Amino acid sequence: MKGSLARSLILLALVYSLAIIAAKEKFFGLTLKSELDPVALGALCVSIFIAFFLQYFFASRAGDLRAEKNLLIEDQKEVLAFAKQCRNILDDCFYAGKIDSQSKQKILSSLRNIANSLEHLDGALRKSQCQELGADFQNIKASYYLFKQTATGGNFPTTPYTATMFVQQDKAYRNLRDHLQSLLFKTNRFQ
Amino acid sequence: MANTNLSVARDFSITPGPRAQEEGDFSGEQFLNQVLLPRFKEAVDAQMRLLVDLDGTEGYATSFLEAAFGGLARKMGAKKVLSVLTFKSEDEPFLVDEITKYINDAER
Repeated sequence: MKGSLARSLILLALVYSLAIIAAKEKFFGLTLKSELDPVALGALCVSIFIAFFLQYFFASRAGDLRAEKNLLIEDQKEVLAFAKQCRNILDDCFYAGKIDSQSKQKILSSLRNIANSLEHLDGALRKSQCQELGADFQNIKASYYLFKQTATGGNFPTTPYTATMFVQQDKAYRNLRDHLQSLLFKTNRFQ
Repeated sequence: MANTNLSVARDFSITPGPRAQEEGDFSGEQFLNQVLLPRFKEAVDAQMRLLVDLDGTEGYATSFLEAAFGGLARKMGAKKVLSVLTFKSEDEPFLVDEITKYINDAER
């Protein structure tokens, strides 16, 4: 930012010098008034100050917000990826007709990854300029608990998933994914 | 109120298992009957709070948590359980809310 401010000031000085030279040499019909008008000079200074202030204030604010939104979107993508990974393991167990100890460990580990990445996302949302989107987080948390319940409730891991349980899991997964995607879109549009 | 503590990994297993004892080893029911309930009663008698440390295991299925903590709430009452138990879960902080939900839901 300091570099671009310096470049702008150099450009301004260059334009000013060219205008003075052009006026002195009477190029393009320009003339140079030798007396100073303090009111006009003051107004010019104020205008230049306001223009610079607004430009840098809004540019810096918009830049910070975009960077924060990008970080939050990355966090949301991570949760979505873990949820998808967990759903794929559950799919494999359903088609294999059993939940062996390795699958049990994978399911629990991927659910822990979802929970911990959600917890991280919650913290990041609270610290960011998009903290008002945190209101949506309770729905996401509830849909995660429901997904975990349908995946590891009942007689997990002793009984393989029935078709009914599989449908419930799939529904819970889609519900979690919809809530996450909705938050992702809201984050991206946040002003 | 002073604290006494119970670690699932140290006092029970690092691989918590299914819901019921007949379904396999280290079930929620086994944890409830052999560890959680006796320690809970000791804490109540000593007028202490029981800190349950959930860290150090490979993870908890809903079936295990519901059988253990929901089961405790069905035996002792949700209000009593919540006034005596506190939880520590650095490995997975969401577990605390999840368990509280199963305790509250157990009486419904």
